[in-house]
Amino acid sequence: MKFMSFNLMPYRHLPMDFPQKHRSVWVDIPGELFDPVKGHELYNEYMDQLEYAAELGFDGICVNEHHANGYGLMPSPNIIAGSLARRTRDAAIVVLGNSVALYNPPVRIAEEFAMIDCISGGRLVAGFPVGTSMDTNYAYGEVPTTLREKYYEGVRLIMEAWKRNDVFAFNGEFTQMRYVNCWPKPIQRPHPPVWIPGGGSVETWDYCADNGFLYSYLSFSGYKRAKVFMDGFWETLDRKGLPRNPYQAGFVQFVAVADSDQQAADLYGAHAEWFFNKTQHVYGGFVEAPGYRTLNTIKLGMESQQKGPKIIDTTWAEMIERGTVIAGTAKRVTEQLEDLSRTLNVGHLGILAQFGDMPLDKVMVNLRRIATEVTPHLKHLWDDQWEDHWWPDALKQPRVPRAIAPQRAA
Amino acid sequence: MMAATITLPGNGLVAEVERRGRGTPLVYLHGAFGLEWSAPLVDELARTHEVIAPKLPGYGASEGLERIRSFYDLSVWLDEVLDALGLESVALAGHDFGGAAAAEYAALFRRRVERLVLLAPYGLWQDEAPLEDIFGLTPGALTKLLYADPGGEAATAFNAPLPDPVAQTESILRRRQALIAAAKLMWPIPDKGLKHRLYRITAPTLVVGGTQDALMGRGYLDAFAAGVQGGRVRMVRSGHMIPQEAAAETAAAIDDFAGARRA
Repeated sequence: MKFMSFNLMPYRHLPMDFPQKHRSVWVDIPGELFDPVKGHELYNEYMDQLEYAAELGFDGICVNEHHANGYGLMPSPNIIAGSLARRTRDAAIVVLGNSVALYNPPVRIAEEFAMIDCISGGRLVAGFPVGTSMDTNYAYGEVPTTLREKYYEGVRLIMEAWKRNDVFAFNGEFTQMRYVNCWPKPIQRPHPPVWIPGGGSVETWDYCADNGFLYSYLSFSGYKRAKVFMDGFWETLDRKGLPRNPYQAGFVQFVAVADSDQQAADLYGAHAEWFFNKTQHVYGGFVEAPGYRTLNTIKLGMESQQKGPKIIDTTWAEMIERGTVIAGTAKRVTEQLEDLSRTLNVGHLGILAQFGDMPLDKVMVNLRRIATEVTPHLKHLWDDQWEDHWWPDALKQPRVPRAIAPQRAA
Repeated sequence: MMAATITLPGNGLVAEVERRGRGTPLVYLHGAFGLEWSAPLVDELARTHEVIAPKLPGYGASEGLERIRSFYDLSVWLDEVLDALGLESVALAGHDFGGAAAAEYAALFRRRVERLVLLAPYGLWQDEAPLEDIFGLTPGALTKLLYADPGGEAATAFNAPLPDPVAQTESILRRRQALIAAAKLMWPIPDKGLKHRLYRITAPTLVVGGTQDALMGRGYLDAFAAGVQGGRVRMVRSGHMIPQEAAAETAAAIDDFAGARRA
């Protein structure tokens, strides 16, 4: 079992009355709410957290991409990843990922990922999300009707650019290049592990299964709700006669460790409520552009009566009950994470130890407790039966946490 | 009323075309939400015209949206539809998205358009008067933007859920399908270069605007009228959904302009 420390990098200084005064944390969040001096502190604080997680023995550290978003300050995850590659030695750099249709030409991704892979000594995991509708269609102006086509074409171009050493022409619908020549090439040959972070679309399951990509279900609604989507992926593999290797899957989970359930509530409850109630406040008109999902996917959703989970206006008690946050004593958290891993059959878990407006000192304690009291008990999961083909070759040996420098330990 | 499908020779794509009434032929292109939201105007026009209303690709049974990547593609499609219907030259009208399609067609195939009627047309952009984003609004906010009377019958029909759940599901999917097709050509800003081609429109052009249109302000109508060779603006009492909110007044204005006589 591989554990990654994932950080969304929220802007944790939004005013208390944000949801009352503003209609959306995403797309049209007012510019005057961003204080660049606080931005300076936040980027460095969050990078400290990721570097500390690597020191603590997390197998990987994880960044993602959002645009015009109050809870995700990484329009360019590659900038953060490039810096982390220099400051860490033996943790995977998991970029989850670059929204392919937003890069013109997509070869830019092949180049930047190759740079990160070279700088890090072959530690990159390459994530290719479509990106949310808010990010791609509204914030970046991509045509929703053709977004997915453009995305698939872009991934095809990147993979070719990595695999081929000849200079070739690419005549796509969306990208035309007479001379494709990705220089540098990644250390990992023929290419770094490819992860596809996605929601619950049928097309993504087939896409991952057919191309041997990892499927990572990204959701803030907790593992209990995620089961139906992960099962969809496993059933897709079954249908194609492919093994249910848990390492072909990833998931993300909010986690907090304390001495008791009550202490967890006291320490972390308000921060989780801040995250869900303030940063999930998105204007209804921006949730899904026409064409972002195919008509078939919408139809399926309507027929199966799937309703979006209520994730705003929720309390800590409700989050614990639904599993959107796993928190409490180390023992309880360990049991629940094992239950999560076995229920979903996932071999890679991204742990969100920072959420909402949680300050640095609390995050460092939480990271340390997770890495010392929880994950060591779960690392053995799956390894007796399965091999991880979706992890950098350079990092296949189990990680042993090194002594933690006293000035960094919180 | 006659709704029929035709098959375009050459590519085999099906196009759905509604034909109603008798008289001078008038080709009518519906707006972003589909032909159903032009029904009152089509009714009125059918009293003096043979109204020929193709559903644009992606709407109803009309196929081929995947091949339409620009207004150029859409103009070529319309040209093939007119060929298939045996119409040599036409009076062409369009509302909203259909207005942009009609103007683009008239600029490209200008010898085929005798008269042009643009009802609150898309197709231009003015930095000093940015258009609201119809693709980025909740249904309630959208209804308020489109209708002069958001509590009226037309607006209610546009936004209120249907009592029958099956019909309601179909209606939601139809709306989605319509916007998928419109967004493909109008995202994220509906200016796709028509301003560079507008001068090519030599057909006499009537631009109709709604006095209470919160979406398409007078500046846009004037820009259309000034940009074509011979254009004028006529205002009717309506919001943006002119075909529903000012059907009779608009039909009369089109009759005046096109020289048709009421039976």
